[in-house]
Amino acid sequence: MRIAFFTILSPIRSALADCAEGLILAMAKNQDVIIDIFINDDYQPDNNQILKQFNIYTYHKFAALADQYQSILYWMGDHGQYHGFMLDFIHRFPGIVVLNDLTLHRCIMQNTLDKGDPATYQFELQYAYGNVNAIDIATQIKKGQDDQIILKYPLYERVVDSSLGVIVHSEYGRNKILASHPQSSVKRIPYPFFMPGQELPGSLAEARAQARTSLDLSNDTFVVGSSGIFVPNKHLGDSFSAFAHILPKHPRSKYILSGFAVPEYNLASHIEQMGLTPYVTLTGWLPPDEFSRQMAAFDVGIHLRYPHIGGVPYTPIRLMGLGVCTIISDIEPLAEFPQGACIKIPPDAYQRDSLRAILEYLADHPDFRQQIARNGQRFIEQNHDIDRIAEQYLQFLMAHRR
Amino acid sequence: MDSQLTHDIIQANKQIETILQRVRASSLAASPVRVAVFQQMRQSAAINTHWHIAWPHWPPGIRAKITAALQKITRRLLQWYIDPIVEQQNRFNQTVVNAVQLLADDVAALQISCQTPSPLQQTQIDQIQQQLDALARQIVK
Repeated sequence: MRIAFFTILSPIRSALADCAEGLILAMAKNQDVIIDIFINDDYQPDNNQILKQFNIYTYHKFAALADQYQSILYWMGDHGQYHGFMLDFIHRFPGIVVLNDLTLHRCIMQNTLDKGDPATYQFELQYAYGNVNAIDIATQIKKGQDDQIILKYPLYERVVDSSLGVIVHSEYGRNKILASHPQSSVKRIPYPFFMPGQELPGSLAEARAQARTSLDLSNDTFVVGSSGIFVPNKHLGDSFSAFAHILPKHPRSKYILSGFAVPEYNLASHIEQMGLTPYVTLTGWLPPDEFSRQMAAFDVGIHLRYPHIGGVPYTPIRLMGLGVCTIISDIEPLAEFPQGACIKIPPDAYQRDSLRAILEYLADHPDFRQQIARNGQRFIEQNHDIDRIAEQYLQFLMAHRR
Repeated sequence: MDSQLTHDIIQANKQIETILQRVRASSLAASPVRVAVFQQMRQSAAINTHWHIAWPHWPPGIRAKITAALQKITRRLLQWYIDPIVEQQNRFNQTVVNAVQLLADDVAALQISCQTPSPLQQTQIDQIQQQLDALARQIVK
């Protein structure tokens, strides 16, 4: 089977790029499969393994080559600049769409309204929701009410209608799409656990030791960490409050923030106001392999997210796969992650107190922390194994050939 | 998931839920609104027999002093009749405050228990989920 794989690749700063590269490599292990990659024309991919092993074309070449492919996979997200180039092809050359985000509103808005084409934006909204006022909706999104509006108008309707099949990463996503498109073929395939770059060292203990050495952390330091792009709805304030609460009893603790904050969020000032500057390290953006490996240094990884817009965050999968005791928000897209393989904090009025109590317990009880970490690692091993997931993708593609 | 992992997850889950429930219970008990309401209730539960007619200091003016003296005499004369009633009322008020406090605690406990399914409910949910998965697989086939 010959597959055209529309995606983003590194050096684009997105977990979706790393994850797609891992999935492509795993799918290509099947001898009967040939994968060609189609990308946007505004960057040069830099992953040597991908460059060596695959034909990579810009999307301009696709129309001429389209007949060669039995299957087309669109690795879609809600970032207009990264994924917008796929929209036109999804409608012209139907294939399988992977909805990594459970909304395409921003992507479509950036590729229509923001490029001076309000008519197409209005058309997309009317197609999906009837007679709604596109300008009014766009104004509300730009005023910062984007999460509520995007959940109400996710704008994936026409994309789903145009596709031969849809892949999502949670039952919540699958049910949401089936509720409005009961005739569509929608399958849940979990994200694969994938570490970019070289293979991990022999054991997780070695990976942890290496990561700690690179961060200049001793083995007995209690390390809390959060990773990714830091935005206000990741509730770092509550995480810092919990961390400050354990400091008197565990004064040698450190909080590692691997990643960077969005420009409108003054994270450094927040840390300073809480008097945590000596205890917190903000790494800034890191290359994908270094970013992923650094997580192994954490004793506890915190990845809260509320409100959500339907997508499954990738960072908890990495943290759990690396054997890190992981704390996440108890939200619908993460329903498949059982309490006990990780720690799920309900995003309610008690979030701050719950997080404090949980972090204190984890700091005081290393055995329990390690038990959660082991459970999480085994859960990821059994449910997010990249080879098994690649096989599920191939089966779905095979069942929905053009 | 293999059965050993399922077992380990269930064990860890119990511990986590205990911590989370404890937080909720203590947060509810310590809720500032709740504390203020009960403080107000307790303060107003006890009625003072001498309220407003005790006159610990004589008021200024002859007329006011005469009125106060008459009130003092009346209070003393009626003390044998009013005091037992007030004591009875105070005992009843205190019982009401205690009952409301117990009811509030029960409501809080119910709120917590409603948020977490019982082991039996969880088993039933799991069974229904398995049936749904089986149905979904049949539909896909």
